[in-house]
Amino acid sequence: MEIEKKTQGIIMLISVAGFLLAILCGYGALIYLGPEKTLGDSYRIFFFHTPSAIVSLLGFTGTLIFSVRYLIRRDVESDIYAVSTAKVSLVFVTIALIMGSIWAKFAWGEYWNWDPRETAVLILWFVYAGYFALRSAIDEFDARARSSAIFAVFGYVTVPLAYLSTRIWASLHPVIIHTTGMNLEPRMVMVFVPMIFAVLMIYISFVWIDGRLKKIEYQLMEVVE
Amino acid sequence: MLRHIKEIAIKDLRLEFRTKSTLNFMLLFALITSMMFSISVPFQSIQGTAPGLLWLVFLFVGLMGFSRAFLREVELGTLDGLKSAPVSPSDILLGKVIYNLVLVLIMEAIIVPVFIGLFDLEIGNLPLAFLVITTGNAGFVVVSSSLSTLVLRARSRELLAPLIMFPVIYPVISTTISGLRMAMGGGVLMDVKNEFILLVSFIIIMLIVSLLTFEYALED
Amino acid sequence: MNVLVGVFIAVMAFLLLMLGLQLTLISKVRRLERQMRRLKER
Repeated sequence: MEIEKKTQGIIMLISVAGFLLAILCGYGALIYLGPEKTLGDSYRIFFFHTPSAIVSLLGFTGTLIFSVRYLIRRDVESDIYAVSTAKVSLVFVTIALIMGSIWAKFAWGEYWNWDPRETAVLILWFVYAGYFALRSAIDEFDARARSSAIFAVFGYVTVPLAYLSTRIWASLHPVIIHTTGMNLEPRMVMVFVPMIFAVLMIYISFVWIDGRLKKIEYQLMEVVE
Repeated sequence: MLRHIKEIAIKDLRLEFRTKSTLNFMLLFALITSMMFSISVPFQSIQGTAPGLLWLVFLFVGLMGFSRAFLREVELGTLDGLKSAPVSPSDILLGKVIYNLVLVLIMEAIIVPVFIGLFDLEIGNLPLAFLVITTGNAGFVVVSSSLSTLVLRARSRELLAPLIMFPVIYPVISTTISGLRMAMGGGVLMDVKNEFILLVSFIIIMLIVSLLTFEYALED
Repeated sequence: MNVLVGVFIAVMAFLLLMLGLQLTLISKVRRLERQMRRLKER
């Protein structure tokens, strides 16, 4: 209990710091930076769209890790965190998809272009929507946790595919992060990189709070039974 | 090990050929789907859309048929016997994969000529088209054989199966269609090199993942 | 410029909404924890 209290304090700190950093970066993206040469003002969506996409892909990696950990350890905690990471990542990737299609309307002329990355991310969205569909269809706790953990391992192929899609197929999406550095102006990097951390911090706090809620609900159910 | 795989595949095939129920259902379903396409796609544009349609037929048929391999064991109540038999889980999986592959090869041999005849298609490179479809189906079989065990305990598993399978095999679907289009246009093996690299690496990755996780999938 | 300020305010409002959601979730956790303790005492 003592350790949990301590972690809760740290998580609250991360959460508040994340939100403050996000507001600061939001200010940087929307007001501090000037309009871009070719894209005008619409490029500002980049600072919200890309971080949430990156964080959601990292989050699905978390789902994979917790799923494998569940298969090895068979503990309730791993299952709960696998679900929490998947749930919050699904929300983040949905936000990234919506913001992306708004940006696409301004930059490429249409809301949806069936660009390789758009398609790959949509498929990824379906995989994790299927993950929750699978979970909702199995009542038994062990069978549900096991089946969904295995499915998360299979479904993870779509994550590297979504990341590499712009490199495998010809895409409208530019490649931003190279092995040699970033394809961005220094002033933009100063807003972009902190924004990734801000979104990541918000993500972590959400996962932790959701996982904690599910854990206590599970314990209560056990006590009642 | 090889002997166990062969035994399981042969046992299933013998069971199947006694009744031929799955095979007949798959074949009928394929013909009905082809008929649907004949009324939903204008005849002039069939040459361009044929690769996608032909592959869709296999997708629908495979979706119905491949999951039968394990569902039948559940229905007949023989799954527990299979689990307690002295064969390793990976042997069971590979046996089922081979069984499904044989089924799909039979389907291909029947459906592809019928499809070509029905729509009067011109196929530039028929052997390559067969090769592409077979490779695509191999990927499909590997994934669906192992994923179909996940829905065994689920409610409305017939609905759930396509929902979780289609997104995972999406890379197979898209590359097979583009490879098939190439083959129908008269392309040679070198033209579909990239498609093959993608398909084969997908199959290898999925086979490894299946073999690693199948032990857990069969547990109670 | 005015549009951008509007968007900035909307983003801030969205972030505050998320923070509010976190706070409600935490208060729910607290409530369940209290309930748990009561159940254990009995």
